[in-house]
Amino acid sequence: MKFLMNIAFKNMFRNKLRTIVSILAIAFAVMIIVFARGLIDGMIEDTYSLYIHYDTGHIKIIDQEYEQKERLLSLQYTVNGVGNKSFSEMKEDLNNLEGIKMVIPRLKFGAAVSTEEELVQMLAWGVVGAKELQFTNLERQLVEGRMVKSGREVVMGTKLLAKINKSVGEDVTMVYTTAFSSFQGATFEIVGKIESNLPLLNEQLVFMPLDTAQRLLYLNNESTELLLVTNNREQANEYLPAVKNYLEKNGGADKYLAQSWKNGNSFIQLLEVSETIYNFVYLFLVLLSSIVVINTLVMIVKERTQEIGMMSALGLKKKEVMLLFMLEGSAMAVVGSFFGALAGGALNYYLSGVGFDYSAAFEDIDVLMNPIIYPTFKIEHMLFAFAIGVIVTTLTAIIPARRAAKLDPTEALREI
Amino acid sequence: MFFLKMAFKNLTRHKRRTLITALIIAFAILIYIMTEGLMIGMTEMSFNNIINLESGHLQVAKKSYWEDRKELPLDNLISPTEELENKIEKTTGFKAMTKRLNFSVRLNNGIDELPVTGVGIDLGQDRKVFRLNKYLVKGRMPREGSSEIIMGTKLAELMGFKNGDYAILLFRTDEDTFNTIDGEIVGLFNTPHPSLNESSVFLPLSTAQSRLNVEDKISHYAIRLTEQDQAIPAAEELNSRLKDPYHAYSWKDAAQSLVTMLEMQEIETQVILAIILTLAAVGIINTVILSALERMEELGMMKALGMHEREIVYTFMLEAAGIGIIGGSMGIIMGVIGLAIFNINGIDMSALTAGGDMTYGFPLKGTIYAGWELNSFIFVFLYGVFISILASVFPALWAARKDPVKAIYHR
Repeated sequence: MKFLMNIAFKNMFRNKLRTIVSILAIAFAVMIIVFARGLIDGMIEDTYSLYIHYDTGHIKIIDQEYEQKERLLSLQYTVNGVGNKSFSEMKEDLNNLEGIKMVIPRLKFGAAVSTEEELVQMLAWGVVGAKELQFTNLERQLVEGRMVKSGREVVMGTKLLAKINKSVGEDVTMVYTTAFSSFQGATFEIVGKIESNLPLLNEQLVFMPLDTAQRLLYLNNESTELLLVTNNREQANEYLPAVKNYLEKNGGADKYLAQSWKNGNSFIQLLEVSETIYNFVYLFLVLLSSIVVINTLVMIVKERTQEIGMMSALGLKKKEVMLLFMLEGSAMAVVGSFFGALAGGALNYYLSGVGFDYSAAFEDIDVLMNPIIYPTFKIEHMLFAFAIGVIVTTLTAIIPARRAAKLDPTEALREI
Repeated sequence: MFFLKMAFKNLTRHKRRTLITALIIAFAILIYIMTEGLMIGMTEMSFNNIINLESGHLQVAKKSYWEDRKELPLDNLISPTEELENKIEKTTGFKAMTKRLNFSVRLNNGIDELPVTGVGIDLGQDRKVFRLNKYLVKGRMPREGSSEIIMGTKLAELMGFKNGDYAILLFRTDEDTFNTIDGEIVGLFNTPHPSLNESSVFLPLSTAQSRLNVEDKISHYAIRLTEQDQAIPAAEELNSRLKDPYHAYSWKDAAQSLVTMLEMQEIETQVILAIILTLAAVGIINTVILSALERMEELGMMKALGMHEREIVYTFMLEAAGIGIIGGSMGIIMGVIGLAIFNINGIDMSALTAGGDMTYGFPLKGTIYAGWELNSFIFVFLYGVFISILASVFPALWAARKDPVKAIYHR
């Protein structure tokens, strides 16, 4: 084996130019894979965490009817305790379940602010400020003031504030419809400003303390949804049965719907499918580049027909001849993939600081996605691309290697 | 001619190698044609939806209105005058025009409220510009002067309305007071434009105007021309005659963000094409080097017999062009077959979006079909051949510059 490796290695240098071209082809494909994976990972990871933070949590508990009426921001289908247990007991019980780190209640409703010219519609969330800061990355995006605590105070996005012509510290009067369908208004102090790339945060949302929202809407001890947070989002599915079990035991299985973030939104499912598809695309790219290696190997086999004949006449087995050529192919694959992975890594490292700006294209799209995509730099991507480059190329090298092994020593020796 | 013959014969020396290298180019072209076809299909359908249901070919509005038209303001409206309408009618290719008044409405079913767009339509003229009436699935269009309304089936379902129910429309009038319309739902439509189905309510223009207290004002004119392609020059022509603050906008201006998105997509397709073609170029370089290595002795001999370096380079370039042509033709044939398969079955958008109603910004839904464009076929074919030839230049030069004596003595 060592002997064969030696020959294969030396053979690589017999014609440096064609070896370099083959290596280049693989390196290029591997580099593209590292880059593409970094870019897609950057986009998907970001989107997943946005959905988890601002839509689904790790596990989301809502009223079953609410799922259909979510767009209406209906207040008729709330989470208000289970069985004989009150809302706060329910929260406590859920928090005590194994693996559940936090229970975050949100009360979502529609509100509007009347300016001189028009009625600005907005989406109001009654939240527990401290919990939101702990769970989401709002802290970094709070550019002015602080998060809501209690009483009549609100936090809004920069663009929304500009629309209603107010700034932090001023009072704002909002109108809303209560749970009893009466139209009311209340005045709040603006205590903070959020600046975010995300249109939802920047121009639609207004945060206010949960208890204030509950009092104003006559929904004491109720919220429209409960988000459960686990230690790790991948474990959400493991803890889901316990949550469902709890709801069932207390007779809430018919009323409530508990779902993991993966099923929470069709966009997440679409992203998961596309991740799989992309893996096949990578495979395909490497296959294309390994064509170059096959071509080179085919020629090498032809060139060395006499040598092969002689070697097999001297006792090299068919298997060993095949191995010899596969080794040569995989040596090129290893070198090419190595440099490709390095180059791709370097590219991602650089781009992870720069990012691609898609804001113009995302303007009208109704999904939670950061319009500036930063490719991620991860060793994992480089290893993946390296492995796929080496494996696929070595496997395709079997084709010419088999041809070499099939040669009859006497015939091969005679050929000029 | 001699070189052409030689290049052709050289191509057939290693049929398998030629074919495999051509295959890389074929795949690049196949992928390009398929994605491009899909994009063309989606673009055409989206634009048609926008033109037929949302914007018409041209819109005339005040500049200040157009800037915040998405906020649906009630100021900067147009008071229709004969003079203005006469000017619009003189546009080349003019077919019909209608008046529309867009305003912000909260739709109420007694329990829940939803912000939607209210559109006051000129019932006599609207059908000459828009195709809304073709997509009515239940009931009829509203009657002039009544407070009858129509909405999308999707919206009705969400709010729990049936045909014949009454819906409360709550809105702010021009004087900042609140007013309502008890609208009788006389028709439900289901258009291929999703956002229209989900968040628009249509009612007679005169009713909207009187309840909003805006007299006879409208937010814009929508104009249909005889040909879609005339829209942009027609907008320019009309603008030269319109006086400030009026301005004409083509459907492309109305769909600005969609156009930007399509441009981005186009760039992405080009990048993918470039990546695969770069791989193909490396393949071609490899093939030329391999051929040159094999034919080193021949090349030496030909040079010794008086063939110029330039001629050797030509031969290799012609050979590479041959590979490009074979690959290009294979790619186009495969691409056309692929597109044909797409178009026989159509692509169900709802399957693509996992059953959801997500549209990713494209105003279309249901089954989509790919489009054909001869220009893009020709472009990608020539591009493939060009890349092949380009890639062969350097290895060919390298081969041609070998010293004939050393080349003959190659081994």
